[in-house]
Amino acid sequence: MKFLSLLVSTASATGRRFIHHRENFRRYPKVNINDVELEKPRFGFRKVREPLISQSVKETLFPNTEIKRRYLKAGKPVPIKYRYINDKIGRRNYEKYQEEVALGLPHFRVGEKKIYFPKGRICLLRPNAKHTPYQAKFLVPRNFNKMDLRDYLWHVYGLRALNVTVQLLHAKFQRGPDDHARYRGPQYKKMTIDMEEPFIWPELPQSVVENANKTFDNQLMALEQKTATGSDKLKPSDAFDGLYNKPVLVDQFIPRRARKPVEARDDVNAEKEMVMLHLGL
Amino acid sequence: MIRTFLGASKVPVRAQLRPFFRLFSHNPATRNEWFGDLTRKTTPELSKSEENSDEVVSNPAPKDDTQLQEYYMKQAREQQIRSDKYISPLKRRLFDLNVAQNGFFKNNTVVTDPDTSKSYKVSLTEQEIEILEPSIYLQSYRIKLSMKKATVVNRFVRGFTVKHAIAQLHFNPKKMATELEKFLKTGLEQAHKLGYNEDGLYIHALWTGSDGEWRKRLDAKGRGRTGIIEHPYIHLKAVLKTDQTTKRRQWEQAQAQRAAKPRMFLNNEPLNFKVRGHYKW
Repeated sequence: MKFLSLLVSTASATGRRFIHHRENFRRYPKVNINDVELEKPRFGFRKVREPLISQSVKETLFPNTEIKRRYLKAGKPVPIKYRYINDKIGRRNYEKYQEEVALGLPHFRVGEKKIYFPKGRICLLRPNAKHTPYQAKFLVPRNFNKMDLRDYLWHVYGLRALNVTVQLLHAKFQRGPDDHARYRGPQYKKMTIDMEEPFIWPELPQSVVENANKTFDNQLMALEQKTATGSDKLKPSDAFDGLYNKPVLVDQFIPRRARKPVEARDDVNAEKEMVMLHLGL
Repeated sequence: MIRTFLGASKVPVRAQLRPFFRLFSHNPATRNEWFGDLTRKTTPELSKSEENSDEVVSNPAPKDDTQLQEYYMKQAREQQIRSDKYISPLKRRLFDLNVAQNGFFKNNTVVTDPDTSKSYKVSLTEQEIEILEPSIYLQSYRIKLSMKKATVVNRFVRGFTVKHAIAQLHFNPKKMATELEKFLKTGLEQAHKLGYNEDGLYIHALWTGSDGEWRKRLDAKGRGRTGIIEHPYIHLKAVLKTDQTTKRRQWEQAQAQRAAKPRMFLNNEPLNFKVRGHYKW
């Protein structure tokens, strides 16, 4: 017995959960349920670093000089990326840009290849949720690069593209009715530009949307009627306000063998002949 | 020609004017001088057609388009199965006279034409009577069902008056019953359109047939065997006739009964076997 109780005590000491006997309630852990915190927060226990000096400089276009000054003041080595004259260059470019805007000059180096009748198809697309009103997205030919679009927009529309990003996208998979495999169409390229002034696509007039929906439904119904099989060809269709609905006349039942026109019927002709013979015509 | 401003000299920034330089202010596109001094500056004028573009030219609805409806009606009349295409007008006239005098057509009887006060003995063949008597040939649309299942219900209502059949089918739980009920109701409508007595209208013939182009599917079975699952489609066809026919047939039956020889229950024929004068066993 002694041996057994010893075993039990060791088991409870190791905290095994799956025990095959009823444990003594005195050995239960003395914990109040309200004191137990399930799902402890996983933050706040690590060492928190002091904020960087470089992070303290905010709301300025050219922070490098100020950051550098603050590092020197604190007696700390200036990080390498703040040692350069980026600010100076940035400020110079910024001023140059402002000047060019004021003069109505292009804000970039204009391309030297002259194209008199550009044939590239540029489509202004509707924005996605991620775009701000200061961004515009275009579908461009695949051989276009950022500079091409920038030049194009400047020369054709007088629009300044402040920044251009490219998205080269793969086409959707396509699958034909007789294909054994799926295949992709050609890639397409989109470019997103940043603009000086916002542009918001106008809402489509409700009438246009309604008209388009109506036309779509009509075309679908017309197609259904056109591709109907068997007896469904007799079915009336609501397409285009019943444009294709022909008046339905009631048919009489006349067996096919009796469906010979009056002029072609033997008995009628025989009667006629008889009368003509009788009258001597 | 796309003009570039590469050679323009730099002018100091006029900061106070900056807000007034709009996006498209200094650009050939906005100033409308694409070809420099070669072209005259013109302000685009609205042409008369553009000014009046708000006026919508509305076509009449297909229902109200008399020209279209006339054309459709002409087509429909050409396709319609009618008795006057297959029977001479004189026969029609005499048949109608007979019906007007007797309430239904009595074959081989004498009728007098009140207009010409002439008497005719009308004798028509069975086929001619079939053509001349009022009847409705009904065709259904495509129904997703099999002929076998349809026939069970068809047999149930064959020969019923249409109204009685509809009443019966309304409480029949089969799918075909619903389809057939709808089908017969169109027949009732057509009878109403033609001015027939709807109460006397009965189902003279009712049959079903494959509507063709059944969809087929693979039925994968065990042990590498396969079958074909078919999705049958059918149509219904019916011939509805009026009480004119019912009365005529009753009359004809009565005539036939009257003309029949009295039935002899005793065999009045000579004995057709050898009569022996002795027992054979």
